[in-house]
Amino acid sequence: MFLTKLTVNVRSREFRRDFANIHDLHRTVMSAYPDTDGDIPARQAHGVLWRLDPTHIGYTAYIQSHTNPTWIKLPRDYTTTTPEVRPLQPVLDAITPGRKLSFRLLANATQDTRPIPLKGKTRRVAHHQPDDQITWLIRKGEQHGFVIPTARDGQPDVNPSPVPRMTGHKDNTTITIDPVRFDGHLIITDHIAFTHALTTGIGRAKAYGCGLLTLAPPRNT
Amino acid sequence: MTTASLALCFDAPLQSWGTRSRGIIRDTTREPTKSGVVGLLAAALGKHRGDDEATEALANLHMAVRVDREGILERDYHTTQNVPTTEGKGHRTVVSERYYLADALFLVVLEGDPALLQELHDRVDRPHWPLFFGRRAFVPARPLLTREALSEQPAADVIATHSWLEIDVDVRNTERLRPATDRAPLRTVTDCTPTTPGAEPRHDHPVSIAQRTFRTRHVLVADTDLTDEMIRTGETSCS
Repeated sequence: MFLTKLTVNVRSREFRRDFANIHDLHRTVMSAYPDTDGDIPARQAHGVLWRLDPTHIGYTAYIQSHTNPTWIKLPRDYTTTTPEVRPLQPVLDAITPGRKLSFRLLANATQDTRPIPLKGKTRRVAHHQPDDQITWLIRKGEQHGFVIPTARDGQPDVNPSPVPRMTGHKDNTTITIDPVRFDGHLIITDHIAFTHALTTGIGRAKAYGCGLLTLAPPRNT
Repeated sequence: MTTASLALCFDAPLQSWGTRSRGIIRDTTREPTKSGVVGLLAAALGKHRGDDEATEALANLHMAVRVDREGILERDYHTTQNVPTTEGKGHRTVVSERYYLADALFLVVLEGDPALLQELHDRVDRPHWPLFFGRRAFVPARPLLTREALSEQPAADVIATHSWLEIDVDVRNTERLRPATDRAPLRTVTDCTPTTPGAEPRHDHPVSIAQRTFRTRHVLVADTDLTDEMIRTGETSCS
């Protein structure tokens, strides 16, 4: 497993284009990985997950994958520093049941609406209320082997913050994603399920910058 | 009637072009809206918000937008304190989310009646009321009139040939040295008929500014190449 850190040059035209069209950003990320043949999409085959984090002067992109990426195809002025690639093994080694870690996750927290009578189709809509978003994350934790501890105020130790809507175009269809960023702490309960979630991502829209779980030592120990 | 086009440069540190904003979430699209452009032009002409005939005449101009630099979408956490409640008793704090485009640069081309465009050309430089991009504080960073402002070409040709408005020397040099085939194209958003394949609806065609009523228009989102001529010819700055 590899984790890349790209410090993006916000004045680059290619980055501006990618920022306006999430599908172009997906393609730029995938340009670092070789083509695959077979039925599995290239993103899934290489286990690519990424996230664009705003910083006080621009953006940093974190990209995680099974395959070692080669960033030579990236446009010349796309980044301000050379891409930093490092193995993710230390993080995978640190996954033990009962361990507390701080995390960040940009997630597409959605729910299916009730089926429309006679049409029978459901529609996916994003959770917009913080309480619903936290409930969504806690349910994902049950599936993926982690729990959110209780903070000193008695509430779950996680902070959901709104993120600008991400939009894009793909073959005349419009992509619209209303993600939410979770910052907080988690406690690992099932290390096998949690490792699987870490390598394959959580929730929907993984091609478009959602689902990457990044971990760090806890802040309050 | 011969066709004429007026090209305008929309450059500002901040711009905001809302289409769906009601209440406390003030959104922005990624390019100027027709209602926003019509409002700006009406301000230049000194037309009142209740003047629906002027609104209609301006809204009927064919509009095409070229995105010369994509803006960065930013969210502003905004509070207003001491807002009186509807009962008139006590005060409250209103929290709103305001979205804006930072560092965006657009070429806005209007096509239609040459007399109206000539009048707009004369008035945009000396507007009756101050001009701004979506919100009162978002004032233009450079003159709106480009060097090639008025032309007899249709808007589609102006969009495809007008010189690139980017003034950042580093970005210009990077693009100039890059082979034309490697360059990212410029996104365009052009008025079209509802039957055009790929047409998208936008609910921002103003009917009455005072009543805040709009109807739906259709736009086609496409790309145009950034050619060597567009980078090289002339000065980029406006007149």
